[in-house]
Amino acid sequence: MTMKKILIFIITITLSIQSYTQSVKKDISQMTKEDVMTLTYDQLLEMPFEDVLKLAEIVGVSLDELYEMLLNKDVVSASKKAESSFEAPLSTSVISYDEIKASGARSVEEALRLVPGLIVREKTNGNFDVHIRGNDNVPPKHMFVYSENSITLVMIDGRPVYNYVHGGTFWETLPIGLEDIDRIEVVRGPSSALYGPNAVSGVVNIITKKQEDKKLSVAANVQGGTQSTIISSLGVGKAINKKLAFRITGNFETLNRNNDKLYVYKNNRGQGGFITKDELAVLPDYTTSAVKLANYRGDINDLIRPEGDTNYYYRVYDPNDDVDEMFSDPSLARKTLGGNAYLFYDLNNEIGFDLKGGYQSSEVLSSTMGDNPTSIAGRISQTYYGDLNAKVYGLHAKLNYLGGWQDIVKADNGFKVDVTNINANLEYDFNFGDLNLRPGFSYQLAKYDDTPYLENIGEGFLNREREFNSTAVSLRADYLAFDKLRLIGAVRGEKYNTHDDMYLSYQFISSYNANDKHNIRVVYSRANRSPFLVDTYADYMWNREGRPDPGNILFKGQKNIDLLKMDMIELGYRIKPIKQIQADVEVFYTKAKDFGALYPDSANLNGAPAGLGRSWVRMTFDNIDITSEQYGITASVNYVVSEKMFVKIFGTYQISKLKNVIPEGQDQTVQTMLTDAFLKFKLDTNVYSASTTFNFAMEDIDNEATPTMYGGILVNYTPIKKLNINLNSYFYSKQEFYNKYAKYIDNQYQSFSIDPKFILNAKVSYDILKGVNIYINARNLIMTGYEFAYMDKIGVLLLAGASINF
Amino acid sequence: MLAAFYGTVSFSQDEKFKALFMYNFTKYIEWPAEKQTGAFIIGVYGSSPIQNELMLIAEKKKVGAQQIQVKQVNTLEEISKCNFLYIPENKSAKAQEILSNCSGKGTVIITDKPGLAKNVSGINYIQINGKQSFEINRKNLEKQGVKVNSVLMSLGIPVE
Repeated sequence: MTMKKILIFIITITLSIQSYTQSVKKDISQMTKEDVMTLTYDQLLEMPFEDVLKLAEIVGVSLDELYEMLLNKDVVSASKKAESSFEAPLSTSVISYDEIKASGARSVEEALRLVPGLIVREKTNGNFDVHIRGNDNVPPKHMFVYSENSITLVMIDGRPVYNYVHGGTFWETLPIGLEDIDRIEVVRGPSSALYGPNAVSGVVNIITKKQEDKKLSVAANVQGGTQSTIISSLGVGKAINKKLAFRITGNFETLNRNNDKLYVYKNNRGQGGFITKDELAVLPDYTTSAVKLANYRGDINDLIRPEGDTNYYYRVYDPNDDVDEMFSDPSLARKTLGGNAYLFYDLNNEIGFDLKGGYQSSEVLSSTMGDNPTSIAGRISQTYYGDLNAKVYGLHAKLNYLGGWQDIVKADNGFKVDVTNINANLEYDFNFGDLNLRPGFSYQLAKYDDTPYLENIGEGFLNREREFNSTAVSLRADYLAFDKLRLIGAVRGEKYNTHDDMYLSYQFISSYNANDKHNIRVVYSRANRSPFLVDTYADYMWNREGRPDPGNILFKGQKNIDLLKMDMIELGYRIKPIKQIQADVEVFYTKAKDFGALYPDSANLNGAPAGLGRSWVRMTFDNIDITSEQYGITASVNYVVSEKMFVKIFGTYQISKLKNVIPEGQDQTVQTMLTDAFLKFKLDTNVYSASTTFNFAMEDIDNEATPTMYGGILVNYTPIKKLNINLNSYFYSKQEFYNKYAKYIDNQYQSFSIDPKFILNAKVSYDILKGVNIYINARNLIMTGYEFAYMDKIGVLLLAGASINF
Repeated sequence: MLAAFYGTVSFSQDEKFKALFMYNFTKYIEWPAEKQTGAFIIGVYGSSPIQNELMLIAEKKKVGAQQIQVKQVNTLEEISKCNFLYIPENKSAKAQEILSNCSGKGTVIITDKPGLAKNVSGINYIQINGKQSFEINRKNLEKQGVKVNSVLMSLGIPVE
């Protein structure tokens, strides 16, 4: 009996152990992380290695590594070599593809709302203004184009994507989509010594993905929703062998505005504001009195006689322009198509090449780059590029080309240009123990030609092909003393073909890594902007027949004007009080000077005496006396609350001052000078011409176009493995934007107030299968309001989408 | 997705799996005769949490007939007695120096930093898309004086 019991016991135990091991074995591929964690060492040690490897895959990364991954990402833009962002010697931030995707950001520009120190405002659906630490709208009360950020260098893999017409980046012309991006690195502060001109307020460097996986990889993301929004991006890559890999990507998007109105600066009868295209076409310009037909030389059809009025008036719109053509689809915000091909060849760790190429076609309706009566205008571009990078031991070589055309103000004669940009860089890394020396040489060329698009030479801005080029030499020294103190000095001398003098930019950094928990740095740097097309080469006589005075305006650029430069002193402190938290504080002071702008340098009246003179004004791009001083503090805290939750909070408080500002708006200066000339002319009937020159008193003001406070909060929560909830917000304080008509009408300032806004975005995503994800993406959930002067009121946008990743 | 980063895992999972990998490597590596007697020594250069995990395994398992002994090692003399030498990431700078001093002595160098399998270690732990894996360099292993079964080559990521 006892023997029988023992036998049954043994059989039962054996069977249950067998079935248990079988169940473990059978279910390995189905196991979750939680299941793996319940396995004991005994069970794990009995498994074949293949199964252990599978379990390791299921477990994935640990929390410790999660901290490192989220808090201390690698960054190369701060010093041109990979280092952890905790040790980066400049104010740097990195946002990864995963963060961008989880946040629901629709584009690179919107993703920059996740970065401290950046001011990001939406103009029309999907079209953003991006500024690093302000310097908005300088000079104020001038053309809208001066509100564009022309002092941040945007690059894709170190290739500048920058327009040299007015400066700045046409974001829609970036050929890449979400699936191209590996990460975005942002450096705040002058960085020309490392990256060349235009890295004045900082650098945005978009790093694309590299194909590394052995197998075929496919990633795609499509979302669509309100405002006829469709955004899609696709990437396919394969490693052919250990050395050779390629990747092909494509992206397409179309986004509509939430209305089809166009803003027209108000006339003295209060007409204008947001009106339709049809209303615009017949809007009289009441800012001038009724046209005296006896003196009028133009076509009477160019004038307008409002209903119930016996007088004729000028139209607000230039009768030479076709409103229908300029605004063929006033509800369109953005439409882009892009494709890229990447080829990677890595012979070994020391020798590697990559070749990238692509094409983009884009059209947006956003803030005008011209001098239109509307704040909004179309812009169309078709460009292609090639980019070759080589690394051979310490040598880094880069050569890239961009070609194509851009119609900078759609259907406005004279704004369409052929574009050619070439950049070549050569740098070499010398390492002598703790000292790294990196000498460099670079050459940049930007060529623009408007002649293929002009019916008559003289109607364009350039009326010929124009070229900028610059040659630069640079040296960067990076020395690590006692394993803790890092001293960096970088200097770059740049010679532009448009300038006689050489421009020097530099960077001196001392960074002290007290231990793994504290990093302190002091930075002093100077950077400058490059010359631009309009500033240097504008040569355009605007015949204003059928328009109010002046009869002609001559726009002139000139060489050798001082290039905008910025100096910065910055103190930075990073702390990791506990391993779940990293906090950064930056205190900065910047001073920018040598701004330039088009102002009238003379107003003239010519012709017969007694008030019948034809007026003309000469506008020359020249330096203005403005200096922009900013000081502020940016703080950010990244906190990995638990395995399931990540929180990021950041904000900037800054004071922005402008000194030596011309109090009159640009149009006002023209009118004042014309009036003076006219008075001279009237007083003396014996003269046949009169002229005045520019002479205005100046004042110091706060730059109200830059918010004093801005920042964001992000919370990512993963309650269960397949579900991810991301809430992110971006906020800024009140801003006041002064346009060029400021103080023009009835001596009243015409300005645009941007109220404080708290933008809340939410994305909820769910993995329905391994590698297949569906999501809802809601932008701007709680507040509707203007984010940029005279642009659209931005409200809720609801999207739903799916992504795959194999 | 960030979701992929937020898995519910405990702190020591990586070290646990690295230790488990190490135990499994022994099944596919043949040491020279002099290293097949006495204790099977796993040296950990400097301090690393992997040591505790290895000790748990040592309590439960043997390599063939050899008892597993886990110890922290600091000198070259101690290193040359090891069957495995694990060099944690923060000590990677020393890897080259260690290698040149114990080449051909049947000590398999296991490193934990991307890129080191190329010229230094026989086996190098890496993470690919957040998943623990290892690179393996047959030439380096042979230089270190051991023979490696081709099955192990197929389980890891071969590096030349």
